[in-house]
Amino acid sequence: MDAENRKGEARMTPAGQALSLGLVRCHVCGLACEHVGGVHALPCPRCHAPLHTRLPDSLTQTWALLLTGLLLYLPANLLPVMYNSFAGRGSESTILGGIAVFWASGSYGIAIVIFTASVLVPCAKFGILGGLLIATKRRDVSGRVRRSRLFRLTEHIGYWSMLDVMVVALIAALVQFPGFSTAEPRIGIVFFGAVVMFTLLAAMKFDPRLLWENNKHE
Amino acid sequence: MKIYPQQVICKHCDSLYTRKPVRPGEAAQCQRCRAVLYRGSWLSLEQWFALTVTAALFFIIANLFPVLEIQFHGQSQATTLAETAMALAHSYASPLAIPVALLIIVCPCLQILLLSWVLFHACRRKAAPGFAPAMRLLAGLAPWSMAEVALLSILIAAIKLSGLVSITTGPGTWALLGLCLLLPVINHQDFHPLWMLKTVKGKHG
Repeated sequence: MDAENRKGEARMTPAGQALSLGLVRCHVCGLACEHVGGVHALPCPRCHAPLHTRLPDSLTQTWALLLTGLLLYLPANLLPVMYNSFAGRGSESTILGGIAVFWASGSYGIAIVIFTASVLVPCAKFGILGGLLIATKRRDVSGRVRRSRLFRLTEHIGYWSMLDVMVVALIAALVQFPGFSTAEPRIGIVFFGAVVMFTLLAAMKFDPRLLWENNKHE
Repeated sequence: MKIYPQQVICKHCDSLYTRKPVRPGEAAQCQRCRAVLYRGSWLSLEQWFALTVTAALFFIIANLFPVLEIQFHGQSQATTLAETAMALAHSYASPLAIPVALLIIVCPCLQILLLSWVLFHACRRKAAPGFAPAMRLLAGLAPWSMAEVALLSILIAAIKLSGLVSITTGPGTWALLGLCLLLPVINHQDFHPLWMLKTVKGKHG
């Protein structure tokens, strides 16, 4: 047992591919069930969720959601996300403009955090999911472990992009001193929120098992 | 339909394994795609339930008290999590008000309530009434629960405003910190022992 337990991992021996062995995993409760019927089989006997060997229309839906997100990313960056007035002077700011202000004022840490959440993470998701979709289409078998890792990374980091939406909401809720200073959200933040939602949905619709299918159908 | 409760299938690459017991902290890893199949839990069902109730208390405090307060020219303004979401409602950003409220308030709340319900009965070695729908909803809520994003955004907003006004964190922020430490613990336990409470009609393979 101790020899099996280096690095805190149990040694598992794969018995093969579930689909080729006639088994299907319930995507909700994880129960291994006998695969009966076509792509749309009977519901899971334990949790009654519909069983399917692969997420239906995964590639088409992921592409659609990802491209919608990409399209909305333009207005999200071009339109102002917030309006600020201070002592009678009003100004609007975009996401990149806000980051630039922090950087220029010497708040490098904050600038980097916001840049990561609002620019780096969404762009990484577009790049990684797009790359995975193309690799799946080409049934590229080399580097599958790395691609699986990248997919799990996008699942873990994706939701941090909501950060800027909540920062804008907090500032708008707090800075309410009519006559002195007010802050208001602007339409850009709606587009940005929509980008985050669409990329989250895209990652959910992508079936990572497609990365592991060979040329010949297993 | 035959079922195989002793088998586990990797959700990332569809490899089939026979479930082995793992020790607390130990992870069963897929040999093909290196994903974690399941982890050994440090917690008993009773401890898991206790932490979930603690999370519920943190959640209540985090939502009742202001998270941030600012002072400006003798006036002060405070906001709670709900008021933050509502601030979006009266502006161009009104379509975001309900989604933000769902992500930072409703989803974590439902997660805690459903998990408490299931675990309360699990501690009595029973499947709770409405067990399957509750567990299905829990699985669906997981990606939409963003309390930790709310906590970081409070920190960023505080730093952003600190140059202009005097700003203090309210009790809500400290409770939210506690909640954010507990939520990953209670939500990332292995749900397999809970699912095993439900007896399934079907031939065991």
